Amino acid sequence: MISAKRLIEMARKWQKMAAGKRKRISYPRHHNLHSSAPNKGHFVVYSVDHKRFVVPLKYLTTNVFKELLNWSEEEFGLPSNGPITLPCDSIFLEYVISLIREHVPEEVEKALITSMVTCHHLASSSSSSSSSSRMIIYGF
Amino acid sequence: MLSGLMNLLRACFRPGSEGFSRTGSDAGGRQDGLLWYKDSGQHLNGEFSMAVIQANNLLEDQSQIESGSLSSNESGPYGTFIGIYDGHGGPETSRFINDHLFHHLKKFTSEQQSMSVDVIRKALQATEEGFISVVANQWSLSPQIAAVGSCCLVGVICNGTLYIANLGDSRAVLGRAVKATGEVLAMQLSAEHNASIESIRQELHSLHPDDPNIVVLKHNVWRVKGLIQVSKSIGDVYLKKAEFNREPLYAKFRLREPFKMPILSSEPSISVHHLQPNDQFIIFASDGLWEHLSNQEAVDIVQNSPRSGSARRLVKAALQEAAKKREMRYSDLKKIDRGVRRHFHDDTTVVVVYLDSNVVSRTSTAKFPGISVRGGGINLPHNTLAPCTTPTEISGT
Repeated sequence: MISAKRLIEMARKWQKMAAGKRKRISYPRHHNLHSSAPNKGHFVVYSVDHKRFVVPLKYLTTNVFKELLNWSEEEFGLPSNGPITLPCDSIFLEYVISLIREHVPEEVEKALITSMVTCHHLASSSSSSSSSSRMIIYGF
Repeated sequence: MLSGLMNLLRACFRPGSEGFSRTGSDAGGRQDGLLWYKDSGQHLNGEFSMAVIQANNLLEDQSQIESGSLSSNESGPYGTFIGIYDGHGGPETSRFINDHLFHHLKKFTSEQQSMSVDVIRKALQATEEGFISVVANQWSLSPQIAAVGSCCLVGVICNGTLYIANLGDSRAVLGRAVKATGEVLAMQLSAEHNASIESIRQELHSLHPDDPNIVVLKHNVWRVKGLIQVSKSIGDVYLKKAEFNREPLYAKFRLREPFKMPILSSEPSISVHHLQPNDQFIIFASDGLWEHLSNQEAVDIVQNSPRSGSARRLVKAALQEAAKKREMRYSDLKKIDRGVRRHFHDDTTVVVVYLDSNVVSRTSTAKFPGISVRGGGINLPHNTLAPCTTPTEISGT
């Protein structure tokens, strides 16, 4: 089981990032700066705020990414003519990637998926929510 | 004349380095990761090449080529049958078509003692009815089968005539040589039934004048009732018979208002083409290919490359394009596991049928041993965690 202390720690970190002041911790690059050849051993996803993430291929085996991809299919369908957009903002995605990079225990990963699913349902059920308020929900 | 001789020589002296048995009627294909292929085989009217790339956890594309007698008795008529079945919602319908359609076709050909549009229409209708009874039988135990369906593309080459029947968005494209210039031009043979086509949307509106939401734009894609892109299919019983559009079917498939008239049609578009001596080959493929390649691009690839492996080359070209769209390398795309792979491309099936001799003499027909090949894939049952197979021989029949 995940300890209460660890959960609180996670929540703090999360809130801190949601404040949006934190320095970028991952690899986001801007939409139109990727003229070079794709990175070997990586795939690309975009966040809803159009940040580009170059992610190691092995992350596709994690439950978190599988869940995000399924969620993306539900929200946006499968794109036929372009890259994949995940239905979360760049701050949230950075956090997800940092968690995977730090090899967090399975319990934390499960907690993250559960919170993602909860937020997803919250966002889906409030049909009138604008895209900006959705982003706040996704990003906490 | 000379090209015919060359084809004969090629057929006789094909290198045996492909690593699999090619003698007899049951020479199957090879499985290499998620790719299945049969680079070259012989049908009654020439060679063929076949390839399937899997993206879904369970392969939803099914396919077959049958050559020899097209009737239940061996007296003929003789010819070649090609089927591409692109399933959706699960593999059950496409598998059902693969197991039943050709048998129905042979039965109706025997009854009518010839091949015709009517035979093909009846075979498709019998297959649809067969699947509806499967859904009715399984409804109480597994109601979700009502939301499984399949596109269905059929080609029959018989006595110099080509029949094309289609439901959905798979496509058959002919490569026809222009004598004057030597170019090979693409000619689409199949009508398509995808709501992305304006005339299909108009047709749906005129068939359902009281329903302004018969087609809905969702995620930038037109969908019938916001649910499905194709307007014709085998299966999808939940959109054809109201008694299967109720609980316990998942809420996302249930329509708010009951319907009297089927929303999706199971009436195929069938066309008849008289093959000409300058008709070189036909490409049959599921929309996984056509999403990434134009008709002419596909014809150019086949025309400009060796016959053996031409289907595999088309699949590769489509995957390279898919990788480009996803901003990644083709070599990396190939490493992604089935299931997750569906987010990067669709299941894709390609059969290239070369037309070497449209008129086959009775003696050569009698000598032809007949062939029956089915496109393969990894189809482990649910909840099986076995690792992917290494390249192995699998039976083609």
